[in-house]
Amino acid sequence: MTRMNHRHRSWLASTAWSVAAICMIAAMFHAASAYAAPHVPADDEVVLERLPPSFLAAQKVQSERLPVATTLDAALATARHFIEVGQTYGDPRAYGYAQAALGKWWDADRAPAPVLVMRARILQFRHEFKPALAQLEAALRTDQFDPDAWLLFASIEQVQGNVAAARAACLKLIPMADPLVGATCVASTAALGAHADQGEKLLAGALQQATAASAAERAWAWTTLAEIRARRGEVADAEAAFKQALALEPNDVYARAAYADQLLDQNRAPEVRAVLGAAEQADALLLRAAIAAQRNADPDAAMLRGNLADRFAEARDRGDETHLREQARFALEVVHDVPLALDLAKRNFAIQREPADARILLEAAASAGDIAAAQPALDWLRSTAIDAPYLRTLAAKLTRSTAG
Amino acid sequence: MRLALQVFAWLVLMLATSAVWAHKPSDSYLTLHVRSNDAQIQGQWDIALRDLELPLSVDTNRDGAITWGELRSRQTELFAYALQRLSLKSDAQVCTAVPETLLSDDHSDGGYAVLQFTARCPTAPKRLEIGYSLFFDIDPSHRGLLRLDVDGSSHSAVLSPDQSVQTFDLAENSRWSTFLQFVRDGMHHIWIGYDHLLFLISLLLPAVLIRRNGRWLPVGTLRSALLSVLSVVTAFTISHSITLTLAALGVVGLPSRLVESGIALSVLLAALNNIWPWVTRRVWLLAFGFGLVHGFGFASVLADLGLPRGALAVSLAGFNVGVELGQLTVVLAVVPLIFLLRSRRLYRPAVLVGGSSAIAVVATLWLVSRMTGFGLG
Repeated sequence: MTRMNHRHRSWLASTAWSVAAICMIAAMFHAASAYAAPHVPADDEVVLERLPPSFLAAQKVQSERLPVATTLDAALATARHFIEVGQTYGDPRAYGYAQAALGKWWDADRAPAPVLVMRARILQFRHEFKPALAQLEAALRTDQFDPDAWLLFASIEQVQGNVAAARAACLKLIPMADPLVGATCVASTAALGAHADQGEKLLAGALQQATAASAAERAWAWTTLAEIRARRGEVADAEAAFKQALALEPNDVYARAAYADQLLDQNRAPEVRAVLGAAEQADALLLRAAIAAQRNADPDAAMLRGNLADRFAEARDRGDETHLREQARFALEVVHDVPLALDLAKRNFAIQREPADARILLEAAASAGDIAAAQPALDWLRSTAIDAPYLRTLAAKLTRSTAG
Repeated sequence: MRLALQVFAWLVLMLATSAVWAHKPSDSYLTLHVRSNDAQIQGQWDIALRDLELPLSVDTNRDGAITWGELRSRQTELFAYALQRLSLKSDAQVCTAVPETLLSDDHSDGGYAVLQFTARCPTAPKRLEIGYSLFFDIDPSHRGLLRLDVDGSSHSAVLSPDQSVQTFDLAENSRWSTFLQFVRDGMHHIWIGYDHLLFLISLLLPAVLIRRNGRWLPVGTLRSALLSVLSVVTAFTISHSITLTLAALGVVGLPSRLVESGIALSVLLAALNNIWPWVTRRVWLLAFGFGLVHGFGFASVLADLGLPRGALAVSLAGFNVGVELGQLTVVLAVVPLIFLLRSRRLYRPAVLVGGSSAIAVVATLWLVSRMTGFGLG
């Protein structure tokens, strides 16, 4: 090849590179037109927002409330309706409406017991567990026969990993609550100790006889049973229980999330999206959808991941720390940012101590190869007799790998 | 046929998921731009349509969908409702907020009304007091996420019922400190932005060699090495400055994922070019072409830092100077080293080909992760 030819070829090649770069930029511009920014919509018919079912439900409560809720009973009734909306759809705004409905009683120094319980419920939703327990303690001092207060007390203690305190509250609850509610409460605390099998039997038996219980109560019992079974590795029975729960309460966010987790654990990601259905709205469900979409390589995987990342970023901006567990899982399973996941899991475990919280901490620590970080979860696991083969294997693997 | 089916499936999913409702607590996004010696404050307020629906009933035909027509017809009430619940005071004197433009946007949880307004204050604020009470009566868990830009430095605050008034002292901000701040940001970005570094290094590695008859030979003099370094660095600087400026001024804009993928691709191609040389002369053209893409990357960082409208030129210049300074330090660290090593037997196989292969692997991982959204990088 002559020198001239060589120069000519090189010139052509570098020109081609530049053209390629410019074409790439042009292609990006083309793709960019699909992204949003503040704009004037094309015409008046463009739909900017479809009001979600939770909003319509809240709006209904709003329109039915008395113009001025002067009486405590009216305020409590409205707040209770808003909280029901919040629980059903997992919509945090509804809890804010409930707080507003309590009006002057929200801040009152000497509030009646039902107000204290309502406050505790709202605080608990915001993961302000200590203030919530303080409200409940005050409420139970004036009225120690309030089953709602005892049940809430038990569930907050349980979330924090205080199984003995949770169990004591469940035992207080039994004489004053529906048998199924008492059995669910006791079974779920028993399952965190050495008596998972007895808890499971008790709950399955109570469900057989529960004819007076409401659909919501039965769905909750089935979900609790399903979770105990899933943790013990009884996957087929767990799945049957999840299906029972969802048949009773198809909108139940918690049951759907737990069922999706079981499917993910069984490497059945392709089925997860169908279980979540159109109800992917709550962060908890969107997380499962994003994990499943990524494993399935669904076309919308990147979009779900981006959406969830945006939401967590917005939550961080507002100083919201109620989704640390979900954020840690997102960081670990979707973004694969191990140091971030470990940091979030550690902070989460300082607030919440359920098996799922221990699990994400152990998994993140295992990925990071950092046994010291997992110590709180390992200590917790050692202190309980919980029947959770997966957690025990994980912990054993972690201690072995670091020791070896 | 198969492709068509895939596209169809993708579209169906896009449509299906766009109807998905996001549930997060209620937030509004309030951005205020303040310039020193200017009595006018530019404001933009993004408020969720779902939140506005409760007090204002924007969905006039009650079909559960808020259209642009419905929102637009309530523009006057909307501005009045919102602006009544925001009070701005410049040195304890009340500023008057005047509605400008109503726009629409989407955040992660749905549709938002975007209210642009101008607040006219009696004096240019030295002390700005912001009082916020939007939706606190309906939903006490509502938060106003405030971003205040003062001549390029950005402040943020969360406004809540317990913290509904925020005061900012603006006197200490000066143009010079803004400039220096952005110089630091620019340098920082180059040093922590491995993709820019690796692109530059990929282009620099062959600068101490010359390609003759299909073989690499070390260059004879430092002068010829420096000339080729200078041409590459100058071309890269000019081209990324062009796109950085255009993007920062809002003339052009690109979504970050495409830019990030483009940058990863540029690193990959530059590294591959060292392994299987294709462009061996006028490497500066390569630097120029891909420099355009890198400029968009710098611009998105600048946008994240919060570019002040009032001190646009100062902050843009500062950031650009910072990027160039950061780049210069890399050149000064790398070029003498590779110049000294250029005649070593191992330079070509280990540093040029080996190093470039490693860079190519990293760039491929970035490219895959950025294009697909999978988290590898």
